[in-house]
Amino acid sequence: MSHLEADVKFTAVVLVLAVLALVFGGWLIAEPPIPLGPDILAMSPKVFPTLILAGTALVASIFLITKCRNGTLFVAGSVGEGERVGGTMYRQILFVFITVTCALLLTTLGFLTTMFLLMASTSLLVGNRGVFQIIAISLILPLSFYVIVTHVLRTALPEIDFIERALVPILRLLPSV
Amino acid sequence: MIESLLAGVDLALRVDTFIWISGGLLLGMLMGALPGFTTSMGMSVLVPISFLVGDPLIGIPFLIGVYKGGIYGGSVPAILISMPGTGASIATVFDGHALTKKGKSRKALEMSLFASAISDFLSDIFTLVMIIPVAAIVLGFGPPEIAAVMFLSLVIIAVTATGPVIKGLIMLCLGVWVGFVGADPFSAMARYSFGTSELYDGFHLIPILIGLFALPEIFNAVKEGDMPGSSVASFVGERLRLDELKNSLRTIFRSTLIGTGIGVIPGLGQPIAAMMGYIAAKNSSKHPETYGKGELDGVAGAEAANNAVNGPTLVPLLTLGIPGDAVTALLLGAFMMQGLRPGPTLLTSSGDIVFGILIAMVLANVLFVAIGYVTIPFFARVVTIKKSLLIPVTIMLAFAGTYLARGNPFDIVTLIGFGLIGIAARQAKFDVAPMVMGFILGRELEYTFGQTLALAGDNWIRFALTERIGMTAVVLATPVIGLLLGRRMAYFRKRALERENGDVL
Repeated sequence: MSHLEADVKFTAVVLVLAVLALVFGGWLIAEPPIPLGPDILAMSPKVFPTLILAGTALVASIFLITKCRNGTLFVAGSVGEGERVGGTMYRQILFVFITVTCALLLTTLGFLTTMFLLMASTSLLVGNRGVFQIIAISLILPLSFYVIVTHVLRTALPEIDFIERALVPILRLLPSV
Repeated sequence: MIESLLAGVDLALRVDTFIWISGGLLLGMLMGALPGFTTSMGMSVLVPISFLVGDPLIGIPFLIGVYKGGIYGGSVPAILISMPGTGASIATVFDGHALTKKGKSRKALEMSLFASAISDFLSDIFTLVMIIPVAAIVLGFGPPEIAAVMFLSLVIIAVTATGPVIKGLIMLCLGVWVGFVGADPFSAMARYSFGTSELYDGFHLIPILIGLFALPEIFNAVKEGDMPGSSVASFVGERLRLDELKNSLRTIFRSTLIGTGIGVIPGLGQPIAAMMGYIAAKNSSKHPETYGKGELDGVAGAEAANNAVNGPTLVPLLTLGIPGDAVTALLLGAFMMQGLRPGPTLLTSSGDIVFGILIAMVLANVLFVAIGYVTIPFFARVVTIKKSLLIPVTIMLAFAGTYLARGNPFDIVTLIGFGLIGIAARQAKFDVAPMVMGFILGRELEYTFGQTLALAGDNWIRFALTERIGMTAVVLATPVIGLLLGRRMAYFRKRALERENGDVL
């Protein structure tokens, strides 16, 4: 069972995006108002993007044509590859899902909760099975970082009110910087 | 400029600067010593921290410390467990690990430290001396010259990227295209913003850097799973003797020259310098047959060459705003976050701060030797730490650093978006460095090119042919230079690989 090479898939996506951006350039790039016409502007906002997109499409096409001529568009799968890939693929998909979810929830759940979820799940995915170690790392490190950033560097990190209020007595115990 | 240099001496001699440099060196050595942790990944998550300290004379030297420490730190796992901590230490494996097998790992690690520190010191002096005349020349550059130099740099970066030239060009174009998102520099009209205010401001450099460099590394760690920490790492044998160091001084100086020359050219970087330094050491040796079997000069040649690259990469960065590699792109981001815009006018507008940073960089080499010497036994143990303990910390720093850079939640989305691009590019064996360079330099190129057109007026062909003939020559020569360079690099890489496989260098 053969499938497309990863670099072919990547280049094909780049090529499709470049062609779409070229075709829909009129909608994606706003035209300057008439007073800022060619007499005043040295260069239209479309010139450079069009040149670069045409270049991207050309280079990507050359790459794909070369791969096609060399007969290296596809890669053959080996026996048992499915089982081997399955485990890592599952971890990879889960990692991407968790990362995206945590990114979207950072401002809603706050820094400490999000980092606990992200760090604990990443530890598990990387292969750590020590429950106490995972909990300790995922709790203590974000908390220490939060205290340093907010108390020492006086910079804000997103946090929900409830946790912020709970941390006030702890922060008061620390010497002022 | 001399006044700025003298003012820089005053600014550099601060206790807090040296404390932060020491911290940077320690962190850099730690990152370099951990197999699988690259200097660019470490620096990308630490750039926002350098901004939070608020003072460029603390933040930038801190990052330079990370850079220096990281390149040296990579030699520790290369010597102890035959696994280069960074790409720069590939050539150190050949003799470094052979010395470990002979029970002389202490000698190898100490030689690596001294060779790195001596070459770093000498190349930093070169940087300090060179930057004044280069800046004076560049100060006379107008938009046409800057546009031409940027174009030349982009082509060199694309052809010297890891992998085939065409892949480098695709990533470069992608980076330039991403740079167009946001307001057009001349008319302020929106491009690819889909009517959103976040995209109208364009993408911020920091989430792009962290996304492209740090997240793919974390993803790779997840893919590989936790590997048991090495148990063979050992720090044993006699100390390095002074006469042994003296015998290697000629090699160290030669490699320093090679590394310095390579550092000035954008795009080449430490791995090539280390390989060239090693080959030069072997070719000029009276007993080349001992190389690869535990020759101290081999370690000195490779390590001196890779560390000598560090300082000179700042010459094109500070004078022209052109980052030579991924790490200097991160330094560019750090400079910009501190309100310093690298380019022809940087030394006239903020000369004292820049010279302060450079002088601190030279003096940091003393700390480099002291910290490195004391901590060698500790870093020899660091290589045994499991990834599963460090990856969660890295991902926390990636998220927090991105948010802290501007306090904008959209940057987290950008981080993830570029992280996914970086992951896909890595799977497809595309180097992300040209994409970053394209993003940074593409907009500048467009702006200076637009200014050139405005200067030329209607009769731009006459303008290019008569008044700016030099620029036209450079622009026409660039594709040829690029192709020749690309072929040369491919040949060099192939030869290096053949030699490595054949164990005959």
